[in-house]
Amino acid sequence: MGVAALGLTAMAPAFAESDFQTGNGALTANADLDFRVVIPQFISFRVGTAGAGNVDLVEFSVNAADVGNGVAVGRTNAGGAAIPVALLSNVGNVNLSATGSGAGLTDGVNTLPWSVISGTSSDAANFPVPGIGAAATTLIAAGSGVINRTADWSFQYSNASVVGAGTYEGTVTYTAATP
Amino acid sequence: MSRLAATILILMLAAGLPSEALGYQFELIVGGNDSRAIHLRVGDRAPGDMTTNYTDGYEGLDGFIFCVLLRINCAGGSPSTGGAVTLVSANVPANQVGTGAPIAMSSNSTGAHLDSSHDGVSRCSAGDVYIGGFTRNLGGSVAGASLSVQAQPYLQNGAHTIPISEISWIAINGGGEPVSIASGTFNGSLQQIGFIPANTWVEACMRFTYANTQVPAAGTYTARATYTLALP
Amino acid sequence: MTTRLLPLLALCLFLACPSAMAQAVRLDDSGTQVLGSSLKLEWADSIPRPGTAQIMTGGITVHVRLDVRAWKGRNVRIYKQLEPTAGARVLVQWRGQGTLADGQLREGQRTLVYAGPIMTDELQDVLQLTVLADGSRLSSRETLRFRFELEEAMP
Repeated sequence: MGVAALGLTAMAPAFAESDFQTGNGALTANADLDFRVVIPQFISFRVGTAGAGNVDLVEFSVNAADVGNGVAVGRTNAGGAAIPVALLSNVGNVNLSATGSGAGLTDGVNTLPWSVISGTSSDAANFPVPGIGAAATTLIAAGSGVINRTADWSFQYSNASVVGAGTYEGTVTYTAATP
Repeated sequence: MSRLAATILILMLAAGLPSEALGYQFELIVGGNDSRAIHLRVGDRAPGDMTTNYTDGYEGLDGFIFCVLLRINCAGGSPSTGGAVTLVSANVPANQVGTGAPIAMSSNSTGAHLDSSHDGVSRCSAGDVYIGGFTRNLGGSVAGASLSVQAQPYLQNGAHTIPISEISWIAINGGGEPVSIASGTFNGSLQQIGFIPANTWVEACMRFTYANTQVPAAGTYTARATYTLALP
Repeated sequence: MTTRLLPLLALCLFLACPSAMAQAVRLDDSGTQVLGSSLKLEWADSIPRPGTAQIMTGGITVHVRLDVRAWKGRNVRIYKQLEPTAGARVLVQWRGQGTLADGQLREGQRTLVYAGPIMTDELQDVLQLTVLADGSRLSSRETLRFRFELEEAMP
């Protein structure tokens, strides 16, 4: 980020630090003081539980009678709660993306592609859930250059086909970055 | 009354009455270009004031004799006009932007620029800003000069702004005397912060803080405050 | 008539005539000239420093002429007096050419400037006056009034 010049909007000349005036009538002496505040770039992005190292688990436990019936399954752990997300940044527009581990969720033998997982946002217009492995979604900053948004993301397992029994696992990494 | 008595009476009266025509007189008037003077210094000394303090040579009995009575060997001189504008700055850590945790601001004044130019006393700590001045006038109906400040309403970085009310200051006195300059928060309008009585010298140190309640776009934000000492 | 006039004459002598009892008499100095009707004061120091915080100063020349013919041949003491001011605090210093003694006065005071015999009809001197005034108690205009008084010295 380049340092902006001292482009002060005042057109009046600067008053020196020391001023001494003499005369018989009213007198004024002036002295200026300049101020500078440096605000660094930052992006603060949270998905799920706050705190470094916390990785929330979203589990889909399919009933035996429902395997592959085409009815999507929502989160079955943590009472089915949505994942809270928050983004605070001052860098202007921000790109959101999601990358899944490996080729998909795996039980060590078989793999379910990441396309079986989808998400919806409580604020789809302003804070959508990026598709896993899809192109980044750009969040547009306000004129101030600041983005300050929160939402709740909910996830589903498509359950569109019958797959081998097992526990299929994987990790999705969500990224917020300057374009 | 006889002529002799009348003459004596006239002589008595003549001897007793004072004559208003006797004696000489002249008016005292205040004149010349130096009948009034004011001085204000905020931050660094002017280059011409770096090597002397205004009271050099005037201290003590020797100073009174030589400088006040004999007008010799007095090194103090008069204040100069000039000097670069002092900068007060703050760098907000990335993980604290907009958290409301106040950020101490620091000036670029060093060395003699932190000292009194009146008597050379080391008055301000590193990071503070010196402010001082005096008035020279007859007093009477004009008791002294008012000290005020007006800052630009925003710190600015291109189209992005931070309200100037994010910056406040406290006035402290490194010499331990009562502080006669007010502490406060900038508001973009003219703010009176002190008064310097006639024929007195007032000085203090200012310490600035950035409130950090805003999340602004990244960048460098600047503003200028103008201090004015006005003698009506 | 003579009997009634004697006490009156004695009273006249006591009140009207210079006596051996050193009563001060105001001298006629109507011939004195002040060079300029006003004295311009400036701060002794442009900034308030210790010992100089309030002092204003200025100078003026006065050609003093005192009518002393009535005391020719007598020993006298002549005093210079500065009348009280309206409120200003001043110190007036002067240096002459030798006829009158150098000296200084504050407002309301008098000081001896001549002691000795009067040999001429008139005493003259040129005095260079320096006025030091307390600037904090000075209005924009003040008038300083001086006068001379004579006392005949005890024989």
